Amino acid sequence: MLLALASAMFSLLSGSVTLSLHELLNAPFAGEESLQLQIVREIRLPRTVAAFLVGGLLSLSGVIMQILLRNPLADPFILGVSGGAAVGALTAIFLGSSVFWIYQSAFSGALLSILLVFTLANAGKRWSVTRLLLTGVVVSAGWGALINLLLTTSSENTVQSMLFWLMGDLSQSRASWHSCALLFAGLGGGLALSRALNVLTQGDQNAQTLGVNVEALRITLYLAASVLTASAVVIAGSVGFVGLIVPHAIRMLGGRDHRYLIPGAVLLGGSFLVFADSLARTVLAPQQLPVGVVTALIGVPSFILILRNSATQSS
Amino acid sequence: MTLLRTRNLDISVARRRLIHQLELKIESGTSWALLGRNGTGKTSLLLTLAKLMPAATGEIYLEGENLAALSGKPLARRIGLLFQQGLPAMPKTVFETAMLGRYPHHQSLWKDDPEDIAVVENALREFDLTHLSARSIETLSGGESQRLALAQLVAQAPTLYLLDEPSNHLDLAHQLKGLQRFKEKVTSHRAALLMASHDINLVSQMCDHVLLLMGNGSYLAGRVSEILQEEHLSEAFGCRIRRVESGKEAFFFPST
Repeated sequence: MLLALASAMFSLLSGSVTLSLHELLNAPFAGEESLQLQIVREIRLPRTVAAFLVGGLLSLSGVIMQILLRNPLADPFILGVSGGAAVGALTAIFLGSSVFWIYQSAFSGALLSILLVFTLANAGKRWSVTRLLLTGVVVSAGWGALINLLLTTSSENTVQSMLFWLMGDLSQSRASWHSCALLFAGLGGGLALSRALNVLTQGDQNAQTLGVNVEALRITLYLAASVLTASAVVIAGSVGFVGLIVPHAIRMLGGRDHRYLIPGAVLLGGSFLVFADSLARTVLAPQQLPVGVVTALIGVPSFILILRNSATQSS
Repeated sequence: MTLLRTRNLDISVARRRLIHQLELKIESGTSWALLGRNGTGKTSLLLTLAKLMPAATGEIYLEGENLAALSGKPLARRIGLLFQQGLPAMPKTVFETAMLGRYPHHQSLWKDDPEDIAVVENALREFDLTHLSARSIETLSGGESQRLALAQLVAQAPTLYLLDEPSNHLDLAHQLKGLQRFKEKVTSHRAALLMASHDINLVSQMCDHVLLLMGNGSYLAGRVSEILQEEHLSEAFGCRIRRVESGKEAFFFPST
């Protein structure tokens, strides 16, 4: 919680126009509409909220994907949701649509991908984790090919904004009420299911004998993780690493019980992305970096560090 | 009281019929051994009784209720299964793992009741795991993880214990002690036990009834003294098995 507040402060304070903490705290009480207040309220606050939401959504989705696929390398994008969204968004950019339509198109692409993977993985035989994973990876690869096609056939101008979208970018982002509601719904649902998720770490059959309805739980998890990912992706594009490393970081810090892992991942993921986004717009200011680049730059070394520490602890 | 009853139960694996028209009646307070060669359907029978595998034909009744009508936590409070291959798991501590056995009993979504904690601590003590309770399960030895799986099952506290080769990886002392715990549960809680095993000597000490699978679909079921005879065992295992009596106990060994 403290971390979340601190990162929010940091984010609100940093930017092309530097504000002091004093100015920020006084801004709401200044008599007239100061320039500072406008900057904070109209630009930085929405962006900070959006960053926190995206980080929280992706981390929660990452936790769910890792338990669903029982694979530590699973991330929110592994089953092709982001690929579908990307194809949708890039097509809209390609056609020169407005931000609104990019948003809608990305969301439709994500939905299409979710349904496609779900139908293919369910077709015919019984659904298994391997089958789901393989279907997801294959569909992702298909989307990847389409993305490349769009990139190579587009003009230079649009390629720039396509690349920003693909790497994950918060500069156009506005958090919407429904994604906020979705994060809370996901958090609540995740907490309600957290005991069942703990049991599911023991494998399907064992979970079944302990009274978990594995079949229903898997479908719920798949749909929940996909929708969470989709709503994050339409806000900010495919911001990598958050959904992969945040759950691991919490686990390695001792939160392996899903009752703590789920809220922990949402808070840490949100804070992490807010922090990364602040860096993305200040490091090379006034030029802004895509936030996905920053998350990777911070994420990779810190993950290696955590991995090393936990390895030395257990041996 | 009859805890478990099968009627006309057929079990097939890969289109091969392993068990044909099984009529099994397990009374509460009894311990059953499940014996047979490799691939005669011991594990398949246990999985079928735990509702993890569909039967080819026939019905299963648990205390008079059709198993098909039971599911979820209510079923998990009545039937518990120890898997042959132990617990596959993502990293957690010994205590957390044993606590998962309480899943069908939890009252609160968030808090572990003091009662659940007491049950788990007790189960860990019974299997000599108390000193390991904060350890990560990845650091356990084969025998220790097997004891943990047994402790989790005891924490689950079902009325019918299905055990698939419970003595796997256990040293002799823990084999006897561990299975003795299950026997106590069976007699004191009016529960019942069905364990698949290859250790005829252990079975003859621990169990009072035997279900012997012949491999061609037929079977023998009855008291230990009736089934554990040289001619039955030799036929079932396809090699000569001798029985030697020493005082009250009987011992079995293969001979050429």
